[in-house]
Amino acid sequence: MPELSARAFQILVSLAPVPMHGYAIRQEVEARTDGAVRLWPATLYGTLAELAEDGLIQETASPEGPDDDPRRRYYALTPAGRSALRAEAARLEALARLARTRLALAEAGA
Amino acid sequence: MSRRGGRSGAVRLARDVYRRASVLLPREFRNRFGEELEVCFAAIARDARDRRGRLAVAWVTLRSVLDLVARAPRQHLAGARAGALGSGSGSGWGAGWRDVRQAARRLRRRPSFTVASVLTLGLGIAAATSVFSLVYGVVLSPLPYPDPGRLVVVDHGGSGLGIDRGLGVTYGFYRFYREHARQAQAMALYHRTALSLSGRGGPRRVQATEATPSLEKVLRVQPELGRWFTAAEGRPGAAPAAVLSHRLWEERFGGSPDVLGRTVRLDGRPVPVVGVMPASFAFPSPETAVWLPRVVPAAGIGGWNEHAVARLRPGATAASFGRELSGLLPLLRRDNDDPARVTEYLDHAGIQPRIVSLKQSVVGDVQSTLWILLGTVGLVLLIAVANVANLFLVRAEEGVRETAVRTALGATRLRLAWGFLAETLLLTGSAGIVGVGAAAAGIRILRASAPVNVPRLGEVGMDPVVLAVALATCLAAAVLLGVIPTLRPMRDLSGTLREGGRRSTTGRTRLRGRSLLMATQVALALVLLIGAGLLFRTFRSLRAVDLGFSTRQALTFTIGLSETSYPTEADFLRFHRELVGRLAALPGVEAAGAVGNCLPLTEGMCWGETLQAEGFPRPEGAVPPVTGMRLATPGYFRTMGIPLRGRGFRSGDGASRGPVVVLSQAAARAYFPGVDAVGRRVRVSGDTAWATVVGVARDVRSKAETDEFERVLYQPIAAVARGAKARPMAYVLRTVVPPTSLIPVVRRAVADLDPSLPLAQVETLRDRIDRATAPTAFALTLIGLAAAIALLLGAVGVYAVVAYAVSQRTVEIGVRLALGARPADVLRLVMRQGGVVVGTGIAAGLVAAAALTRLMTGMLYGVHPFDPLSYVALTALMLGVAALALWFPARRAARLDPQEALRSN
Repeated sequence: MPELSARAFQILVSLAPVPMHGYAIRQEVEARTDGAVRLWPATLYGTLAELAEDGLIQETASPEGPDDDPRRRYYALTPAGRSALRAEAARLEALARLARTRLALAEAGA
Repeated sequence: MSRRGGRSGAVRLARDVYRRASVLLPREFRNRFGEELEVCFAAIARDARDRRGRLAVAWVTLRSVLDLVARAPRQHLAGARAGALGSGSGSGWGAGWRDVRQAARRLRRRPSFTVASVLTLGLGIAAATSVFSLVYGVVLSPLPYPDPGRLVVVDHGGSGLGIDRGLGVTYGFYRFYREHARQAQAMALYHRTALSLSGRGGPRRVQATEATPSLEKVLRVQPELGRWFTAAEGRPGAAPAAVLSHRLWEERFGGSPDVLGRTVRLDGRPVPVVGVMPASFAFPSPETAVWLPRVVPAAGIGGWNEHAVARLRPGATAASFGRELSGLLPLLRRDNDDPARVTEYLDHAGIQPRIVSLKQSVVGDVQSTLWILLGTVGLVLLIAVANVANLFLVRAEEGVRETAVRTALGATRLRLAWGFLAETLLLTGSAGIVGVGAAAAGIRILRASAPVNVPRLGEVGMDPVVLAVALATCLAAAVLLGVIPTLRPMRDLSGTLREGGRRSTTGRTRLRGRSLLMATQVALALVLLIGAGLLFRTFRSLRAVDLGFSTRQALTFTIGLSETSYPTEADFLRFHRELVGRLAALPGVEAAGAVGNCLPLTEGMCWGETLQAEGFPRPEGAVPPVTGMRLATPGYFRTMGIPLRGRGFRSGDGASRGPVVVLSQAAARAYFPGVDAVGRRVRVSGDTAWATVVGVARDVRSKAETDEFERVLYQPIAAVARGAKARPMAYVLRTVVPPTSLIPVVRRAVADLDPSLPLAQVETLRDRIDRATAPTAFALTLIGLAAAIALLLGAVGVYAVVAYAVSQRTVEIGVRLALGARPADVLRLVMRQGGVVVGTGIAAGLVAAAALTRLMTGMLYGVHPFDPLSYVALTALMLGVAALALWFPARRAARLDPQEALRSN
């Protein structure tokens, strides 16, 4: 499984609990990262297109029902996206564990 | 309310900006996400406005547009990737980029085709670029002075003298024009001279120019150090001053700024240095090492052959300035204090001003040669393009099924053209890099090998204009190459698809394109060959021309005595008599002589006068022909090998008994028509004493390429006039050993007499003549080289076309052989079909050559532009080479094994 880009990872994290539209993803990511990650429109939709191309996300019906703005499109994780996010989380976990172990070893040695 | 309206207006404006910017994204992406993108951006903008105000809207807009710009290329690439997997249609940038990458892959798959094309085109581009740089630097680029279009040369011609132009100006005319002409902003008088510069490393002969202080106002170039001459330094009796060239400053003073106020010794006289000109300043020539003030006498009219340049006022033209000066001339009679000379100049000689632009005057005759050279390399470039186009046609036909399939799948004609164009752009781009690199080297070679009389050589180089033209050439070649293969495959799409992979015969339409290119190549190569042949014949005639004297085993050099070291006539005579005597006595020297002013074949004007012949009065009003005046030592005629009727000079001539002279045959014919001039008397117009003609010398050519024999009056050296003695004497030594081996002994002999005296132009007589033929040799070398390349490329082109045709007809030939045709029949068949094309090319080439070589008339000597020998011999050469190029593939066809050939399908 190829590594996910930081942006793709953030988008998948946003979409994990519930389908969202583009602007909501942007707001969620910005709030969650305290403004450190800002997805500007072209990059946001470019990344969404790539994720859709790779089969990790797909368009879905509006959870708000037919009263919602028809121009808004909602995206949800596919099973492949879910497992990709899981694999990425595991990879990051392993990396974090490795880093912590090394740091502990260095501190013990010192 | 208004505040709120303004705010929503800001968002609307931002949204509009973003929508417009989004066209940078690929169309597919916009179709899919465009609306959302805009909605999302609008939400961001509104959010920014509500929380932080209008300025924040501007900021998020800027940030979002930057994001869009940065993201767009990636999106195009993604589109291309997706498209590559898809149907193969697609459009926009992504598709275009994909075509480029496919083109690169196609080229990589055929390294020999690619390398051959790049080298062929590169060669053509290199040749065209280097020669264009020469034409641009010498002819096209403006002169390196501010507002150069307003600079003109004031020249004169004399209808009564039969001299249309080239007399230059006299200081009297200059002074008069300067005072009265209104259309000139500034005018300057100058003349070139040579001085002896003493210092470290012994005395040296340097080129100097004496110019009026006004030259700075005319050319508007400032010294890089110090100053130019002040007006006071141009007045009689002023203290001397010198301005050095950048090069001399570096050579003699190590480029040190404290040169100002120091002195240089010129002709033995200390002269303070007041300034240094910038390295780029090359007026009147790059060799000029020193400028001195030209003091214009307040009275008198002066002699010809000085030069004047002027800067015109805005609005004035060379023609209007010429009319103004002509109109002023009658005033000169009243204005000048030498009315007799003025009358002679205006009434007898018919002097009229001739104004030409400075550029025209600097570039002069050489430009026609350069344009012809450019035309020549242009032809080579065309042949190269034709060759590569040929290779492309072959390639296009190999890819014809691919083209047909893609067309059937809906690729547009434009899209296919772009695919070919991408390929040719890559090829010509690479060829351009190769070509410009080679041209940079070529320009250096051209600059080093161009004859000395090509002006402005220092300004030739790889500058932006030359690069731009090289780029344009590449683009033109790319378009030409890209268009050729797309023209035809469209027409017979269905036919090609039906035909499938079967290739029994080659379609006639397909061969027609290549045959046309092949014939064109043959024609162009023949034109170049004939041009080179005519030049070769010219060169041969120039070398074989009878100059009137013998050039075998002769050494020449020039000596100029300064007036400070040799103040009197007697000093001058003593020195030259002594030196001739010593040189003649050197072992290895057969004879020695010297001639005043002008040795045959040297550049520069000789002193001319009109004569009167006793007993042959001129009709009233007729101007006697101008005759060159030369001083000769007694041994001169023998040393040069010039035969005489009567006698030459003896050592006592000119001093004791009455004055004697020797006339050239041309002068004798002009003044004593129909009678023997020996024993008769002549005198220089204005002189009182008659001189006896003791001999008539055979005519000597002053320039190899002119048919005119100069009229010359030789005077014995003892008859030297005061004004003549500062002029240099040219020495000639006839030797029995190799002439150059004597140079050290000759130098020693001169140094024994005067250690501070420099020798100038030390060379063999043969070398001096070679220098005179150098321009022809230069043109011949370049055109010869171009013709050789053209012949080679033409042969390769013929070979490639015929070899390809044979390979395409393998089955057909196999069938013929199987049905009983003999190999000789096949050989004849192929040769005949190729021969028709070659013959057409040769016929077209002969017609084109006949039309084009007429342009060369000015470059030819001793050979007619329609010289039958050149035409016949070079046509035969072209035929022979083409036949060889035909024969190889024809023989291969004849040797085909019919069974193999039939199976090859």
